[in-house]
Amino acid sequence: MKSLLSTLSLLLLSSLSSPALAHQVDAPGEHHHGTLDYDYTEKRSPQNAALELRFAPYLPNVDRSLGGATPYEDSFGTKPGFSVGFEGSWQALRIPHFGSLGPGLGVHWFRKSGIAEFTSGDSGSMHPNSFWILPMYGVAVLRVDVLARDFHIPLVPYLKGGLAWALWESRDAGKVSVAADGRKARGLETGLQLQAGLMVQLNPLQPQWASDMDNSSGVNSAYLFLEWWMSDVDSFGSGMQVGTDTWVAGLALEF
Amino acid sequence: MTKLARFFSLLAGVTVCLWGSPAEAQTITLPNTAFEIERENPRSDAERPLDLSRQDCLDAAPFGWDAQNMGTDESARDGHTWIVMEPQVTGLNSSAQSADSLQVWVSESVDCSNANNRINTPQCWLVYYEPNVARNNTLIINPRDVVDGNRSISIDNFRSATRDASICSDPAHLVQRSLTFYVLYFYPGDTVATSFNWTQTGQDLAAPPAPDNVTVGPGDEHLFFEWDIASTSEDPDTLGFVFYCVPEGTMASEEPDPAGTGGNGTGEDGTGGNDGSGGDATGGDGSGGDTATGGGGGMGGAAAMSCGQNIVVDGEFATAEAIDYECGRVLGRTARRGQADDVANDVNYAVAVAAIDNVGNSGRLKVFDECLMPQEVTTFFEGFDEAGGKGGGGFCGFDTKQAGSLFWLLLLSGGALSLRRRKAA
Repeated sequence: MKSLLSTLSLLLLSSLSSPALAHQVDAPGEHHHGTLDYDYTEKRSPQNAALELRFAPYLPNVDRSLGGATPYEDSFGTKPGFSVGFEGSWQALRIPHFGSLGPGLGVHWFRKSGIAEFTSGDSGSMHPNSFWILPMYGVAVLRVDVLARDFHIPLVPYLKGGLAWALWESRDAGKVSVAADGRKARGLETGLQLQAGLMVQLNPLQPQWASDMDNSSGVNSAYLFLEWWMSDVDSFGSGMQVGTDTWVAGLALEF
Repeated sequence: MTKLARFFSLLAGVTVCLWGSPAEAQTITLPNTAFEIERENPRSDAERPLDLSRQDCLDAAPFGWDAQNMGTDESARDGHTWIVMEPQVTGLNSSAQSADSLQVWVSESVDCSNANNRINTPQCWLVYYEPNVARNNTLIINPRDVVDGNRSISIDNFRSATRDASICSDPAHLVQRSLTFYVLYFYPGDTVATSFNWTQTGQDLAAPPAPDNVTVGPGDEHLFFEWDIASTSEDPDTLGFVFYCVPEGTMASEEPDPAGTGGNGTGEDGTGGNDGSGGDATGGDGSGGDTATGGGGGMGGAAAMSCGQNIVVDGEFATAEAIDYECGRVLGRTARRGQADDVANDVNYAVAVAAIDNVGNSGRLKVFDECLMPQEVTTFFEGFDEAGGKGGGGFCGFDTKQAGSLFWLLLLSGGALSLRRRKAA
């Protein structure tokens, strides 16, 4: 803890030594002139974790390993569905002049609806068919925030990798679908995943707001981010492939 | 003089005592009256069991209880809906008051103990007449007498009057109204001695309107309905929607429909023809039969037939026969879609949907204008399974590999935690 505080102090001091970026504080009764540059290290509250609100197009790779058969595409088409998710990560380890490392947990939600066509090939079926996936993951999160902290470039690249789970279920006509052998269309798959992305710090856009937010709520920084998300979730070949390769965009808060 | 005065005083006293009737010499009261509507299929509390519905009217007997000398045999009430009131009378002599009577009158808003409201400007109507008053009475009231609201029927005609099922389809009666039942104890000469009022029962024969823009599509052993709420009414009473699926070519039996639900006929008995018996598309309004030909008579012209059947007819109420073809329902006043589960593949169906309300009234039918045939479909999971896909079977299929991955996650978290603590130390 002491070393963490030392690092923070050093960062704070180094920031203050930069006149162009120093946070100018008005004396009482004195009107402030000039630009109020944001220095996120000044008077900041402790930073331990991050929360993300995530949005993604989601197209599960169900058909990938079925020898050319395309049951997913036949039922739900090729258009990705919409997915929303949350992620929380703990910045357990602060690496001075580099970034943070820690575990993160995330969950997404995806649902797609379609029509199950007549086996005969006739048109006109209105038999509803749906498929939902609840992807969850536990990953190690490496955020490289040295650019933002040491060089005041508001970009934070990051890498996440770890284990993934997904609950899934397919329903038709309001009931869980069943296979010919009576197997229910619901399962739990496991796998691996990797995420790589870039966060853009929003604090410099509204430095005073960012400072106020930190003072009032402890939120150090806000980010917009874009991420590439790859997951391979088929219970290592023994289950349905419900992983995906897709872009994720969202909002992140560090506190 | 004194003796003479005493004699006349005594004579006067005796005269006064003997002059009045025995009943008037005491106070008659109706302290308590139980009220119940006996149904073959009782309704739940949520379905307002004390209110009369159209089905109650349809299920009522075509005769008055007393007219058939039904006596006190409760089992004789089986098969029909009856209103049962059980007023207790206090203040009676040991023997019943042979000249007195108990009567039950009903009104929407006026006091039926006031003779003017019963006789001169009748706004009350008689629904029961009991000439044999006892301390404990059981009054068996025909719901159709309540619904009919006949304000001009005499007591003499009341007992033998027929209670036709067409009452239950008369547009004048398809309304919602509050009612008050007056149990009146009468002395001879139409003098009300005492009364008991029951105000907790209403009449709701108003069915919600048929939905608009109904579309139906077939699936695998299912039919799927979508509709818009009728724009003609914002009936707050709507409870949900019920679906009917009639196999192609199913025809109504020739027997008259005892439920008597035909709409347009004018028959004396039965239900009146719906759309006449004409065989062409312009079959006119039927005239019903004299006794029992009306209900079955509304076979409809060709235009009224959907998918070669005449069980469900667009714009009409579901008959008792149609109710046998109910294939699903959905609850919710704002529901816009639902599905019929009880249909077979490779059979053509005529389908209809009707709204229902809180007391079970089913509105007029909206019949879809196409025959629909459910067929086998290939669902996503069936296709996945046929393609050799693995997985499924339940959320609890937690195999060794999955347990292993959980282990690695815990190990990762534990490692990070210990590293954090070590750094802190």
